[in-house]
Amino acid sequence: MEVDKGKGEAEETRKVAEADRDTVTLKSSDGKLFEVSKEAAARLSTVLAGMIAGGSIDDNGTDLKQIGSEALENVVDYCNKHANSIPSAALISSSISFNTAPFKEPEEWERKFVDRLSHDALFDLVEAANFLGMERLLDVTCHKISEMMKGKSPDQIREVFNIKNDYTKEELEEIRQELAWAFYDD
Amino acid sequence: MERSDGGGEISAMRSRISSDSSTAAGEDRLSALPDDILVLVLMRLHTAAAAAQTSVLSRRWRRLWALLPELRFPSSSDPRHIASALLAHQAPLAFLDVATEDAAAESVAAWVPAATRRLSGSLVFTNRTPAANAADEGDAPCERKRGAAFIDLPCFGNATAVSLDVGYLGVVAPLAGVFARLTKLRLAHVHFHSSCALGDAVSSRRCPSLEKLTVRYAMGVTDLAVRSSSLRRMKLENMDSLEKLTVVTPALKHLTVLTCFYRGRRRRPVADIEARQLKVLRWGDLFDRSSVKLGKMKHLQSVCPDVFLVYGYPPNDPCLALLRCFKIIHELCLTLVYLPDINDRPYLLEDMKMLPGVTSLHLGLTSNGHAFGTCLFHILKLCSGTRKLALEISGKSLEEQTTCPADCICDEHQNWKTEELLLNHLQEV
Repeated sequence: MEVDKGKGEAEETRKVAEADRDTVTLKSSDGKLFEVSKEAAARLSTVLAGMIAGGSIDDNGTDLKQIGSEALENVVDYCNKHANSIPSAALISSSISFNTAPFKEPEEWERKFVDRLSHDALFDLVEAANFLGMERLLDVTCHKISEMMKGKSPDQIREVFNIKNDYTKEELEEIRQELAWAFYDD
Repeated sequence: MERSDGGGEISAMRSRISSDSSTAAGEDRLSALPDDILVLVLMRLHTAAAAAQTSVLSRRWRRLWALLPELRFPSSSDPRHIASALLAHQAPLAFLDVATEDAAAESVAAWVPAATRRLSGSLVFTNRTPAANAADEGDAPCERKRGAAFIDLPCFGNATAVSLDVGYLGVVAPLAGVFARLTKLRLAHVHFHSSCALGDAVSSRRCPSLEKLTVRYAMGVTDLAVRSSSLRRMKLENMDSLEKLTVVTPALKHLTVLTCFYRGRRRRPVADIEARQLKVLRWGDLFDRSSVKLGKMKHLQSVCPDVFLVYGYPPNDPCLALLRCFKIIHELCLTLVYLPDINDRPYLLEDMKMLPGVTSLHLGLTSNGHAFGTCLFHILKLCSGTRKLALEISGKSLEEQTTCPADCICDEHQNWKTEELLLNHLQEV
């Protein structure tokens, strides 16, 4: 499914404006319009599901002032890809068994989806997913961030994410002592 | 709207549209995320230590790890550190996973009380020991070290699921206290203190929500009496010292008893099972109609008796005696075994003179390379009403004239009308 980028087509579609459309139109902070499968949007986003159920979806493009066009394009892309993908058995099984991690690993296509994002696009997407209540997309993006942290020293992590170390030397030493159990195992 | 507390920050940051400028400008977008999102990130670092190490990044990260709802301590962790970690941690724990290698009872006792106070969800503790590994491989479990300490299990008042595989450490179940929210309990490789009232601890009075109980490889329990109105599934496997089993469980649907009485000193199963709602009964153990009482089970659908040796010396009484208890059963699972060496051993299948009326027959066959056509024919002749047959053939072939290739596992699911299919099948054999 291709994404409409605010051109005339989306406007045309909206003019038809039947109540039983199977897509919804979303409007980014910078005024671009995107169409997304209504079913996928409702399934993947608690916020969109609430808006669809509550009838607060605007056929002329529901305003999402907090989300830029690039992030919204990724959100819509994700929804549409998700609508077309067959969930693996791991995703279907909802019961938490004793010995497996309670959260689900990303699918192969989801990994690729976030791997191609730039640093900023990734964080834009995390924020958008958070704003829209998209639990699964949050899982996938947070997983990506954690991958960027794994196996790195604190200094390396600070460098990757531009984290400013605002501790004094004494404070750092204090923390290391307090959390000796965490540092000892390495 | 969940997790919307980050909304304000999002709109504030949204003025910038072009990408990649922030990284160059040195903007820290990770630390700007709301706490609950960072907790999601930390959770995916998998181990409690890795999450806690982020404390040193900056003040923003100082106490984030302590908000984690899940903590995992893989087996590389020093068990002494677990208690320190639990004391420093602040949030209620939905999931605690602790793995240790051959830990001593004392080191376990050091963190268990702290875990109990904090836990509001599941606890999984696995202590890998040579003894437990040996038991899993089928060796007789070792005797407990004399004088070794016992772990006093606390009452997990708020836990919903607990799985303890303690590697044959000694355990004393709490004598008092209510496991109010516990729905799943799994105990494995446990050496219970002789005075331990396991049955009392898991019965309704003290475990009012328990739905699933599994006890595997347990020693020290001779008399187990479970009286529970909530229990749905119960599995007892290799409870070596068991001499008497009492089960009064009106809601129980699945009951499995595997090789408990076999290993007992008396080799005589004494059991009283009252489970009116029982649907599936798997009894791979000694069975004697005079000492094992099965109460009314009007809803029983599936029965799986002990294995049946086609050739051999030990009579197949447990299997045959259980089969005689039922006239009609919807699904029957039979397991027939040919020992690798059957020379000079008597053919025992003639002892099986009748089977209950069966609609669905699941036949597991370990042939060890022997021809099993006759045996199959014998069984199918006895189950002339069978509509659905599932055949599972497994086993390593030790002889040349094998009917199926080495290590093959074949599955067939077919609906057939018996008479014709018997012939069909005969032609194949």
